[in-house]
Amino acid sequence: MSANPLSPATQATLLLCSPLRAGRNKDVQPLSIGEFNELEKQLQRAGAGLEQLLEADTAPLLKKFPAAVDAEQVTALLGRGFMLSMAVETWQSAGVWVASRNESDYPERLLRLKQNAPPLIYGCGGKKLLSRGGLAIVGSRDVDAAGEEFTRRAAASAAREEMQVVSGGARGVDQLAMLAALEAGGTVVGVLADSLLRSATSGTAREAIQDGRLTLVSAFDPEAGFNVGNAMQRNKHIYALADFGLVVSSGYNEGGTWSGAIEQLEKLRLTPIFVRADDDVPEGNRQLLRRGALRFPSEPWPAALREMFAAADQKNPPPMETADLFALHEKPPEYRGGRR
Amino acid sequence: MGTPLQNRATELLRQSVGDPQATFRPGQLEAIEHLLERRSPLLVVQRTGWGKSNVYFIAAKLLREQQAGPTLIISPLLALMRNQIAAAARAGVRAVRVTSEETNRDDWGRIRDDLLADRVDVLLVSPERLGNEEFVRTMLRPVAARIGLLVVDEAHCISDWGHDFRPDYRRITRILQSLPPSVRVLATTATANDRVVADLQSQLGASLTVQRGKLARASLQLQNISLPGEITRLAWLAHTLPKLPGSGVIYTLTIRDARTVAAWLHENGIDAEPYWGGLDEESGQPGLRERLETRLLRNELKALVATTALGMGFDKPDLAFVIHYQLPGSVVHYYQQVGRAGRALPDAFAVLLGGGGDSDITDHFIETAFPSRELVERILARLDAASEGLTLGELQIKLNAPRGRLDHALKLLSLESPAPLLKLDNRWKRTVAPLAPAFWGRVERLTELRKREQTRMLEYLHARSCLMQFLARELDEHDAPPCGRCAVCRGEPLLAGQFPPTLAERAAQFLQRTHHPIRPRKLWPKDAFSAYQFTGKVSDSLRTETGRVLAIWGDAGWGELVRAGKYSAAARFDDRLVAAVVEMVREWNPRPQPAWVTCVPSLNHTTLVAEFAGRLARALTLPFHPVLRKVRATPPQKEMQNSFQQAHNLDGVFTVTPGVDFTRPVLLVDDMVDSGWTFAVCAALLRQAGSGPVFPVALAQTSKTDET
Repeated sequence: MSANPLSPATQATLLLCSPLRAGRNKDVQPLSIGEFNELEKQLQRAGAGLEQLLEADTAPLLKKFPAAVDAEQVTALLGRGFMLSMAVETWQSAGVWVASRNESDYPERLLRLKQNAPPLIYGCGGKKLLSRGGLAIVGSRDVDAAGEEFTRRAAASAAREEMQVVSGGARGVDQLAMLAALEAGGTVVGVLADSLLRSATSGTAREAIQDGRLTLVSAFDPEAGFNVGNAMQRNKHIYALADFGLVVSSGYNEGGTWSGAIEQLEKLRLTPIFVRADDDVPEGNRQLLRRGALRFPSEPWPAALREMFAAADQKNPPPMETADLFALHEKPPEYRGGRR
Repeated sequence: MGTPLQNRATELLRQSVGDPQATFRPGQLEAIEHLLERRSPLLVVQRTGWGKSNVYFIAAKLLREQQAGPTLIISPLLALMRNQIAAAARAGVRAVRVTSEETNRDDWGRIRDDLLADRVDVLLVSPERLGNEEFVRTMLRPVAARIGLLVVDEAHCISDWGHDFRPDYRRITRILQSLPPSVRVLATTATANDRVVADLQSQLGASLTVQRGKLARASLQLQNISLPGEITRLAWLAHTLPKLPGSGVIYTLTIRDARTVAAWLHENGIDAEPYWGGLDEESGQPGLRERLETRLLRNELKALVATTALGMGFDKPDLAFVIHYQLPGSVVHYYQQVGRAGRALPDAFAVLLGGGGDSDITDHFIETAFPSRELVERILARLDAASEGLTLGELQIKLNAPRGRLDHALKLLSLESPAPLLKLDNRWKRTVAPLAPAFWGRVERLTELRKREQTRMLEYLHARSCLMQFLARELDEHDAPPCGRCAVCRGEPLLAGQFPPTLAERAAQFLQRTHHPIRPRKLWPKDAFSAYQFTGKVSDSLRTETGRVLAIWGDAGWGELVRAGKYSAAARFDDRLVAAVVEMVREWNPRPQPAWVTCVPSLNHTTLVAEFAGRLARALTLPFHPVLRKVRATPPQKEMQNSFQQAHNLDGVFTVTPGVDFTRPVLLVDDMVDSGWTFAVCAALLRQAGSGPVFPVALAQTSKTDET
């Protein structure tokens, strides 16, 4: 229908990949990123696009695909048209937008994740901030008082230098960093692992979003509850949306902060990772330094943090070739192909 | 013979109607085929009784036979679809309704099991249900993933140019707009003029296919009669109804009128019953509505006196007359309501009574259809300041506005897109979106439209050309010929407008004798009585008995005389009111019999009520003891707009000094009753101090116009 607020490709991606409002019942399982990537690849080979999956009879098309694509599952997912429209209506009314990987309104920076770029990104607030990069400030929930103070000062300094702060919205370091940056007049991108809808309607966030100083995004259903797997995935998205990373406190060999930072240092290498390295920092911080993270200077900080980051960036090795990471595919599919 | 699809469809139709020779009406089979074969959405505009339900039930069944998922029907008129559902069952269509009625609620578990086990072909829900999180989560999700056909009834509500405004259709429109083409769509309505059809096309997309049938009805005989005022109309009804053949419907604008008219007809030996939406709950008789419908269907009643709750979907082909006690809000509403008459009769009467102050009621409906800017601004400001949102109860404490208005405003705002507020876990929260200025633009446009419709209705009342043509033209059917059957075409009344003057006198007396109950309040509003410490349920030992009020403020019975007493310079209620209350108490006969009289004290008008209560006590030959005292001045109770404010305004305001007769049953007198909180508080204080049972008595009820 002409008035449809979503493009056919986005509709198809939602049907395939979204639970369409966090359901806990025996609905068909949405496709994982891997399964979706495979389906896209097969579509491309058949010379078809996602929008063709919305057509009346998809059986002939799906029949062409190898067993790697579960035609029955795909058919069941595509049959959820009414559920899709109900979900879209709910999100729209609550001021939540959704962008799919194949559309031009998808955040450019997330495409750096290649095959790991989430097929869908939900958000609340202006999309402009998503292209601004900035400093990702991350750390564990149970940070000590010194870590808290450090977080506040680092976030505020970044804000004063007009560096955006990107963080995860979790309790502890994430929330402290975001609040401090907002209070210092900076802009913030919150990359959530759960409960986007709830977070966007809570007092502080709401006002900042209305002022255009905060954008909340999530690759997960806006009503999804907390889930460890999603929280791990989310770390990638935080670094992808930032220019530099700053780890305030990390567990050693445990927790999301550790694994997210290690993934950046050793696999993805999208952003240089700095670590707070004062005397009393947790063991995780020390170990990260040994694994290639950069030492965040002790205070007083140089007048321009930005220059220090830029200099560090020069020294940082370039990212590994993605082909190594995703050896499964002979050739990574071209995500930019469908973009207008 | 036709195609296999046509043959199967005809077979299903015959099973459904129980007639092996039945054939489809023009357009029905075409609509079914369109839905089965094509994916473009279909709009069917066909008159009431054409058989839209045949189309969607048979299409649903055929789709199921092709392994498609169930059909979802969204209709505001579910309560009245029992007959159609029974007919569908004969064709093997398993259809279930989910409504908000309590009786239905008990079935939710079973319905859910059936949905999960794929034993349901058609799920019928009301538009409001789609906005109910619990329903969506527990009932809709099991089927939402497989819905093959979506049917939207009363589709004119999608357009702002329709004659109905139903806020929930805002959501439905957006759902329709974001549907992918894999879901089939059927929109149906009995009434859509050119403008509405064009609007639906722009809202639902250019691919919308429109099927439009003829509207005019051959058997209807239309007549308009000018009868100013309640008394003349009551008299005319009592005089005319016995002369009319068959059974019919009398439409009133308010519940109160439905009750009054039915009681009057009853008194005149005419078998008439009142009917309105909340009848089952208010009468405490579950299933009463359904039983009344059945009695009318079987012609066991002369008439149902109904609000518009008796709507479309009520299918009685031999309905012999439809009489409107007042002017409805628009010509289209009128057309729809009279359209129920005489489908299978050679003649049926449609009589419109009008003239006088009918517009007051429709004005009230128009004015309260949307919240005021001020109320909306206050709500948004309160929610802005509450970072974790507010419940409706908390808003009532913070804002002196009627609960119904608050609820209505919240709902309307939450149906905007993007919505400035939403409900999460029972708390209303602000979203990041501002309220779009377009909201007020729409409010103004819709209000203007309603006023134009009201004017057109008056023009119809006084029309000097064919009445049927007037109705048809209003729906853009411009080629309808003069009907030759209406009072205007014939040049003479079909039914005489006269009645014996004695009947009018009796009607006037009847109105003066129509008393109304004052029901006890049952729950103390939370946190409203910190001084008196009244909380939770109003215990039986503190509660008032059911009382009586003589009149409705300003009505045609005693209402005018009460107003005169309250606002005249003499500040004295007429002796006729004393006599009337004595008569009321005699007829009411409260038990245990009251043995003394007291009254609600006032600091502003210290004598008005007390003096009246004294005279009343003398006339009843009972002692009068003014034992209640008001110890603190308060703003007038009528300025308090919701339960919390009304109750809180009385906290710690009265004291009691027990005296002689105290422990015996007592009549508690006041002039006005609105929310009933004054009676509730005074009675609780009396009972706490050891009085006997308390029977409230008031002269006039000042509540707003009843909703329908």
